[in-house]
Amino acid sequence: MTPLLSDSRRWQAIKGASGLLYLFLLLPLIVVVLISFTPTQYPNFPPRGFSLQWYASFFGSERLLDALVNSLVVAAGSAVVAGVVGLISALGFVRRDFEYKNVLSSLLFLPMLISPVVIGVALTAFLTSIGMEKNYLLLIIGHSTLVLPYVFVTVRAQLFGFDRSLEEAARTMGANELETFVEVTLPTIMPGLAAGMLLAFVISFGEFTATQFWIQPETVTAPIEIYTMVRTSLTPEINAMATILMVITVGIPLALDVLLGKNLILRSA
Amino acid sequence: MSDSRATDGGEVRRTGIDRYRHRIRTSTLRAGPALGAIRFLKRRKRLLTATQAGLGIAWMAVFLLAPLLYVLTLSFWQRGPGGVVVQELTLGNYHEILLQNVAIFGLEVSNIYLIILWQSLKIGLLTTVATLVLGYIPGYFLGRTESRYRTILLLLVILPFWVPLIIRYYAWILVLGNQGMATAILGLFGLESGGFLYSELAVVTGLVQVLLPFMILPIYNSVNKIDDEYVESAKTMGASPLRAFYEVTLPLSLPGISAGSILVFILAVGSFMAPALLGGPAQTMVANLITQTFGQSFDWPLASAMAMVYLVVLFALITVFNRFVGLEEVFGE
Repeated sequence: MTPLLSDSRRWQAIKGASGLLYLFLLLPLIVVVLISFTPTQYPNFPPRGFSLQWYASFFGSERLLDALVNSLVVAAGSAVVAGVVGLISALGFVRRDFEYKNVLSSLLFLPMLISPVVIGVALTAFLTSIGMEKNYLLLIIGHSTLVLPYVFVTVRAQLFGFDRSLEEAARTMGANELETFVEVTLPTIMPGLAAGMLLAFVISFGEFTATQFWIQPETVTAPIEIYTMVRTSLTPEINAMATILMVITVGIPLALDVLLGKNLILRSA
Repeated sequence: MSDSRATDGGEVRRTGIDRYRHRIRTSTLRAGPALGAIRFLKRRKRLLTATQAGLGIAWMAVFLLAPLLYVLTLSFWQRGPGGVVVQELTLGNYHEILLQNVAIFGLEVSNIYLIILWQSLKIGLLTTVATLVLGYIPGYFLGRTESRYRTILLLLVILPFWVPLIIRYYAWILVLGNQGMATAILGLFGLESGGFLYSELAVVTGLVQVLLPFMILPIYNSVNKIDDEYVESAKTMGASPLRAFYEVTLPLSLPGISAGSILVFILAVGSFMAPALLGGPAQTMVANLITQTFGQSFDWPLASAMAMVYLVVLFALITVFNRFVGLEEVFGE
């Protein structure tokens, strides 16, 4: 115990206040899950009874399932593209010196600072002006741009702690550059890359604000469907869909974290 | 990067037949195919290492800077009849959003864009202050606790960040709506309420909840780094716990505070979803106005001018902030 904590009363107060803030952070999401099992037409609180009908109607709706598949495709594509571009650029930025390095590296953080509305508008205006259609490619390009900073920063953090003598050892033992990269470098920085790509997947999967400018009726994503439903009619179907999305974005990373034991989630913070 | 520049600068400009002569002299035909292949591979390797960082830079140049430059150009053009863009340089859009006054109910009120921009900055500031005050407590707790559940408690701060934003804002409709949880709980105490949605309170509440992890985590990082002995020695020298906090802990956690504050402020000011889902017409923010102008009125040049003014104001504020605290804290080095 540190002396500051010895005043246990004060510490108890801090603990209690923190607990309340955890409640504030998590309670609304728990409410969504609870209400998804309501048997009533309108999502009210507290839910009266238990029913899986809204899940049934979600899985019976081709429109909503299509949106879910679109989101999965775009998120997977963006995670891969951002993963490759982020990994290569992080290697270049950490291991090489060149002029204006700081300014240029802040360029890679720019998408975090500019409102997604501006990025959405700008990319749409620019790419449609040179004749590009609003297809999956546009979505993947746009989402990759939005998530690239996250991959870049996690891989870069991993590279800072990388011991380059490992590579030298591999080279002296006769491995060529490619072998060294695949067998020494990549496995060592894999946790950072995986964490960054996971984060990229999750952010792309849930992105709404910029995406609204990039879609066509065939490429509507899950968050867009939720927004449309919220704006038109509040049905408990939204809660079922939201719960399924949360299982995907929270459940999968958590499961990977537990299975692989690599602290992927903490690494991404 | 530097490689290509060197060759650009060092190359002698050749004209006419000279150019072809030079090409033949240096070409792989003369040196023999094997030599040429080796040279090609060597050059490719050098190019490969030189372009590693260049790949990310090029990506941002093509898919972020070029679009932003295009929008800058658009902002000096004008919307013609039927939404067609007329490519004639004009300051009309900027005049409209910065100088032109809009009459509301016959009264000459000030400019609607500036009102909304001001409102966005105000909501951003409110959110930042609330997030700082609320986020410092768990940030401090996580940094100081010796609980063996600390990893799990940290995970619980990060996890909401993984839930799609739209769901996190939507959740507040269920809590604050007229048949929501808040109304139900107040009902238990015999209090009537028609819900709390479509108000500034609802927008700020949603923003604070969504952005809290951005404040808690940097503060946790700063507090966690503080050596216990500093606090201890302050107290042995007679400082009260409160004084020790003000004189030691708080200043040393300043990096976390400034990193969290600037991030929360930027993200809150540019928010689209919080006002769209939790606010009423009176809470329209700059992101919503740009979206409406671009997507519903199809006035791309006007929307572009709005985006530009917003970016300039935001980056001016960041620069001012940067002079005092230094942004490296936000992104690390």
